[in-house]
Amino acid sequence: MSEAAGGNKLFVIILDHADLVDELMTGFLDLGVRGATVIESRGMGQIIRQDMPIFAGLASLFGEATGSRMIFSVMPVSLVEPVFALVEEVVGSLDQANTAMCFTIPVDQFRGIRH
Amino acid sequence: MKILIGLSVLVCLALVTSSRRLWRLRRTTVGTMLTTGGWLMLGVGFVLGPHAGGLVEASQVEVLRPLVLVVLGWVGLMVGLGASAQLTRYVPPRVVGVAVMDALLSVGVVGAVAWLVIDWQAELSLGAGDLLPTVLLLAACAVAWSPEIRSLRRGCTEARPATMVLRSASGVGSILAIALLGFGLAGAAPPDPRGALAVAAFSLPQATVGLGVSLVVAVVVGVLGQWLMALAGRGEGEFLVVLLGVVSLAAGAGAAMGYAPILVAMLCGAVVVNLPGRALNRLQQTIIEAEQPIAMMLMLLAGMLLDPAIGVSGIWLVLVLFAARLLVKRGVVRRLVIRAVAAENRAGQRPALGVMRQNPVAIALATGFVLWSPPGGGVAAAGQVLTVVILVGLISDCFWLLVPWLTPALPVASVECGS
Repeated sequence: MSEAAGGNKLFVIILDHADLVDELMTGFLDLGVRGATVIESRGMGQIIRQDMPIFAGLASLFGEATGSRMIFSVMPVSLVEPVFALVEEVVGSLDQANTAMCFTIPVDQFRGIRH
Repeated sequence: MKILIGLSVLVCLALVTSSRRLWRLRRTTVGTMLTTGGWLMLGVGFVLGPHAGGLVEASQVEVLRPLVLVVLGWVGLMVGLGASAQLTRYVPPRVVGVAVMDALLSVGVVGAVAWLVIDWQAELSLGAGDLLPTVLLLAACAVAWSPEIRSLRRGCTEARPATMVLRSASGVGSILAIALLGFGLAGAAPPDPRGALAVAAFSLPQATVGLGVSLVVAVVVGVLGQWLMALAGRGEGEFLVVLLGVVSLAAGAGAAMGYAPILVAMLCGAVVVNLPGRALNRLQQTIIEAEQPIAMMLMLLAGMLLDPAIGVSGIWLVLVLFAARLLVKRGVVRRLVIRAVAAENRAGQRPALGVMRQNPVAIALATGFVLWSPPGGGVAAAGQVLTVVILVGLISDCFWLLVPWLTPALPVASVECGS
């Protein structure tokens, strides 16, 4: 079932602190965001470091402990600014390094079941 | 003036190594080995040290002790973070078996060879005092190998069977090496700088008590550290201060009690990684991100602490130890690694040759040995042991560069890492 696309955005968050995912998800629900996908990811710096481990060859294999998280969520345009505010409230100022990066992409078409 | 020159050298080096152009060089085979082996910084430390450039004098070396403790503590904590209860999810039992077999063979063969050579060469001043601590160190340094395998594989991505087996077995081996040396040194007396080479008795009860006390200290520091890290909140500065405090406390407590600081720090890391808490992810990220600067500092300090006056006897020891490594690693361990690689055996052959490279933890252990030895004559002897360990590592890495010519029957182009 296709959905009218005009008012939706794909909100993408690249979160350096994986332990903040729970807090973000709770905030999403409070704001009325109906779904999100979280995947483990690694930044370019991490890949270069893990490519040349010296002492931490074993610890760096535990991806969930050393990687970042990418969160994708398709949401109405009206929720975008509140979600930006939520992210800043949870991770701190986005102007600081090693916190999070967020951006939105317009969604032309959206098909799928929304819960 | 000397301090100014030394600082200028270090600042220039820092600027050069952080340059983007150097990133490209670091991703070549030789560049990767120079970086992960730490040979570049080792060379700089030697040039700055009392035996070459003299910018750091022999009397000032003792001042470096607290810095060495912090670096050893950081390395120990990093290695200990690999001792997670979730290890079995990532590391299959056959890989742990490879690491254990490697440890047993390396300690047995290299330890026996070291014992015979040092005992036979009566004039050897290495480890003057007691034979056992020196032999234990040399044996522990032979365990495991470098986890860096980027310079070994050809056109393979990271998550391949050979890659995983080599890195994970190396990590387990590092834990075993530190545990072995810490346990052994806890049961042996520190070298006596006044006495001739003599065999010291090993006291099992003393070693067990030492291990137990180290574990208790590690648990206390680990629990305290986790609480403080949670209090630090999201402040980067506060978190780093707490982390440095944990590292210094763990390593310093170990050294103050006469035990290996790297062992206490490793046990602390093992405790922290298995405690629940939100600060853990952040700790692991911070610890691992600082890996390369810490490694550089360790190599710099090792270069300053080494004593190159090992004489002909010392060179004999280096060559014999390397030959023993060659026998164990290339002869037996390599075959175990190939068998452990789930894919077709041929796929693991070239990467498996990486087991010849010395584990960087060996330099940390040998540097800690210098601290463990009493000051005065003991330090000079321990500095020579450090030199032996460094030379064995250097030869092992150079051997790796010669492999394509030494193994012409192995068609490198057709070898892959497995699917």
